Amino acid sequence: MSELTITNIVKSYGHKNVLNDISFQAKEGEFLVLVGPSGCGKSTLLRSVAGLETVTSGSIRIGSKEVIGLAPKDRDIAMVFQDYALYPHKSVYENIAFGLRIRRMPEAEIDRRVQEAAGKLDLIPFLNRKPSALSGGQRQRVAIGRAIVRDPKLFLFDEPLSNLDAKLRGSMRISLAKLHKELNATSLYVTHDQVEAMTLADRIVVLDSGKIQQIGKPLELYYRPSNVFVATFIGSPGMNLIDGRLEDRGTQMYFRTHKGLLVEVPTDWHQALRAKPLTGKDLIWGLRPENFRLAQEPVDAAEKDRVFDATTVVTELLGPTSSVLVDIHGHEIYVSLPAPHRPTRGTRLKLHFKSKHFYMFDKATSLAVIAT
Amino acid sequence: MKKNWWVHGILWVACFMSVLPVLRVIAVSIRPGDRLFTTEFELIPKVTTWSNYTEVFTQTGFFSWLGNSLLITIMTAMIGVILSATAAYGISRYKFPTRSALLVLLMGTQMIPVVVLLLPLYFILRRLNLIDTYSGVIVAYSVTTLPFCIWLLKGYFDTVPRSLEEAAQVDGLTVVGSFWRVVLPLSTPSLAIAGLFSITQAWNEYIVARVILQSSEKYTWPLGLFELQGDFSSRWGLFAAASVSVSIPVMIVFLYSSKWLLTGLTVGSVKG
Amino acid sequence: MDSLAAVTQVGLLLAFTAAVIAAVEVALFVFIYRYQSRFYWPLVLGMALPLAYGAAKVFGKGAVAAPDDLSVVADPTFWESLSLTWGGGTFLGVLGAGLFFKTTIKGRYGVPAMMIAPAMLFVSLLVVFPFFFELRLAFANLNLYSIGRWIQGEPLGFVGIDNFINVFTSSPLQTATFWELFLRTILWTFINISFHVAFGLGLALLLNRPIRGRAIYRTLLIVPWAIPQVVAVLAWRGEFHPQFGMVNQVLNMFGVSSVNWWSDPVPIFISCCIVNIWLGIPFMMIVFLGGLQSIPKTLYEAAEIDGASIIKQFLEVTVPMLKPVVIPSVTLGTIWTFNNINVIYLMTGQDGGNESADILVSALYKSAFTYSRYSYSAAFALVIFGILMGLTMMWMRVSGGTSRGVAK
Repeated sequence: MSELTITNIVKSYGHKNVLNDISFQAKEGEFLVLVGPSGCGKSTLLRSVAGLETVTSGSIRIGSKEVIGLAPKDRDIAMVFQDYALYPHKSVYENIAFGLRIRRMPEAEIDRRVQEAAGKLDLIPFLNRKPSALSGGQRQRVAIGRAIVRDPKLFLFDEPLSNLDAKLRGSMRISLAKLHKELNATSLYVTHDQVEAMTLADRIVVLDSGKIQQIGKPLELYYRPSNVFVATFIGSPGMNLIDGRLEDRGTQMYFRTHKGLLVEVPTDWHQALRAKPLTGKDLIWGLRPENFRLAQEPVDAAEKDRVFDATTVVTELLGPTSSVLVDIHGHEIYVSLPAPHRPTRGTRLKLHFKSKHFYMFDKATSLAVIAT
Repeated sequence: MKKNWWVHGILWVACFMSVLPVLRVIAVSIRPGDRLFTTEFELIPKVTTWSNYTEVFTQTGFFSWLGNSLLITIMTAMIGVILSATAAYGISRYKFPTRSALLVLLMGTQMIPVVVLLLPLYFILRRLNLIDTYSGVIVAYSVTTLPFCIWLLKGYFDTVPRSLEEAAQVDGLTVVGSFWRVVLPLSTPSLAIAGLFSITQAWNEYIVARVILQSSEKYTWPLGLFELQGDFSSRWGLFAAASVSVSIPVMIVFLYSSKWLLTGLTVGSVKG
Repeated sequence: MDSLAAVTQVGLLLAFTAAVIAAVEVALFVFIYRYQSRFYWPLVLGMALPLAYGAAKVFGKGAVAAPDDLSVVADPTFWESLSLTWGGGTFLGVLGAGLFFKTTIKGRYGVPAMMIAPAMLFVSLLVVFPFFFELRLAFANLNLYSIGRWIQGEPLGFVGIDNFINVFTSSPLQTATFWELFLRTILWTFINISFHVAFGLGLALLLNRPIRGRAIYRTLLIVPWAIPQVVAVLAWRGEFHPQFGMVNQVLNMFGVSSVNWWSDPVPIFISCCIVNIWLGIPFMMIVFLGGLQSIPKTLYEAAEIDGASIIKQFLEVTVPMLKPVVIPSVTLGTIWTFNNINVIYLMTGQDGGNESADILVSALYKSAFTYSRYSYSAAFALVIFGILMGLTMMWMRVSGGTSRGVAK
């Protein structure tokens, strides 16, 4: 196992930069997830690390070895593909053993390793079958077996779970997490599914339009998104965004939305906000749906100003929670409420927004106003 | 079943029509020489003899024709398959300038009968001293087989997922290695179809061989057969015996592989 | 010839060709690709020198005479011709392309160029170059009389478009004019394809029913396709023999007097059509059968529930569902029939024979190789080429997806 260091990677087709100055490092044994919407360049980046695509400039090091210019076979990596890419004419055993055979490993050692990998992945009963005789989940496990049997310096996963159905995806996610605990191998994992990213990753790299948006631990991204993109991408349902401006009234600070709703800014923010010339600037206020609650229970005095009158527009029942679209002073906002509450259309609610989850972004740059 | 009597009736007549000439040839081939020119219509000869067969095998160049045909056929097929496999893979996998022009050229070539190009080809072969040589015939046959095989195999390679080769490369193979050890073994059925197509083309060809091969010891079997039938009056029985000997193995192979051939044809040219 | 020796020689030859081609390709791939930087130039020089020698020998003045003959397998000139035509071509293709692309465009197209070049070299040698050569011939005045001087080294003359005018004004054969041949080709194609489709579809519909012995019927009906075409046509030619042929015997049995199939203008054309129809039905039948079997049964069930009669079901379900099978197979069949020289040439006899059954391609063949009007035939060939291009364009128009298919 060794670390992966990516420095200033640029890839361009003509004038269009697909990857724009990407730099990050995966520490030894770390499970790093690259997440972003489709077309953001995450797969291109992964394939560049694998050597399946070339980059325009920059450096990729696996351990201390610079791998730019090396063929995939010389990079000592293993990769799990989205469509599994199992060799249809070879048995499961031969699929797993193929990489070892190419490296001319002694037969006994090959057999030992294949059996061990198959044991870990519950594939022993299927070793003599052809891939076409396996289910999707089994094929996925063969693809993983083919990777782990090689004992490479770096594992690459290209959306490995996206072809599975929802239920299988959940259980495979858990198996993958377990496997990583066991192997403790440096891994780079690409997905567009933020749930996968949040549950599997040691750290997450959020990519959009070929640029890194933020790197951090899963909860860091959730609690302290550095820009609007990360804020809306991480978390489900996504963050509500409302345009408005800041009003400083000395002892109190308010956020006035473009429809005139006035919201008090928590006092512990005042100093930091005043340090920047923000008054008069267009800002965005972010509210996570799960940070609302019904204001029936007593609210302490300091929070009074963050209780809103809301009218229910639509309620979606999700089981444990209800996702409710409400109208607050003309703003349509998604709110998550615990299951017993299922307000019908037109029902008036009093909603309390917890002050410590206060997100504010600069509209011009989309960056978080205060780096918390 | 009663309801279907007319279906069986029509099919019986159709089958009879389709095998009648074949039965006739077989009948003629076992007819003794003195009964060849009968004006009676008889399908099953009253007297039979193998003398036509023994005469064809011993008195004519029958085996030499077969040997020539075999040689030309196998070499055409090998050249077609080997050269077109790499080319088809290259065209299928890489984007490069002139690619679409190349595809149009390949497809257009399949529309043009070889006769249209036979004259210049004849002069070129003559310049290269390849007239009346096997190589010359093989070259001319490749006009048809190469583009077709490339087109067919390209169509097949397009269906092989790229990630298979990528997986092989990550597993430790070079680009060429992944083609050789993963894509080619996977493509054996299509390679077989390409080979089979080239074989049937070359084996049954008459027109081109007639222009290029001049000395009778180099004749392929269709040329030899025409020669036997050409002077109809004397060697009708020999012609029939030779025809039967040539056709039976061909028909067995064909009936066995007709499904394959058909898929090949549809993949290769129809799908275009 | 001693057959054992022949077999041995054939084996040797095959092994040799395979070895040449495989060795050249594999060696180049391995060396150029794996050790590109270190061994490339020494390799190029090392392999180019002997090749240059060989090429000089073959293309130079003292070119080898009649190189291959089974009896001279031991003769080195034979191996030279073989290895130089195929091995050498392959080598030059791989090398040239690899060299060019590796050095000029930073290796971006190196691998594909090496893979494609050998085949492309041959395709251009066999298709593109002949085409341009034909174009040149069409504007020259090469015939049986001038060819001797041309071979002696006299340059090809230039007569403008005379040959093209002659194609339309004088007969490619002895009496049959271009327009006569053209119309007959259309008639020939139309008659054949109509019968192929009609009988093919009819038999396919019958075979698609759940009847006993379907596999046997299918096998027997495929026989005309399975039998080598040359055998089939020559056998039929015998059956049309005016005196001893089966056809006239059967006609006589029904009291019809013998028809002179071998020489009378209309009967000879009819006999060609009959033979070609007989040959072509199985292909259409099998294609249609495949198409019929791929129509989901549920469609018929739905039609039945809707109260559609058998005829209605055929028109509303079978016909539209067969369309994607019919269009390509009919166009393919059209082109095959248009280009079918075998049947007519073999049926009418080789030495000019009877002209009243000739179609364009068979006339072209005869005008080039029986009457030796080289330049005239080159022009004629280009005219036929133009017609075929037109047909192809029509096919592309009709099948629609072709241009997309190419782009893919």
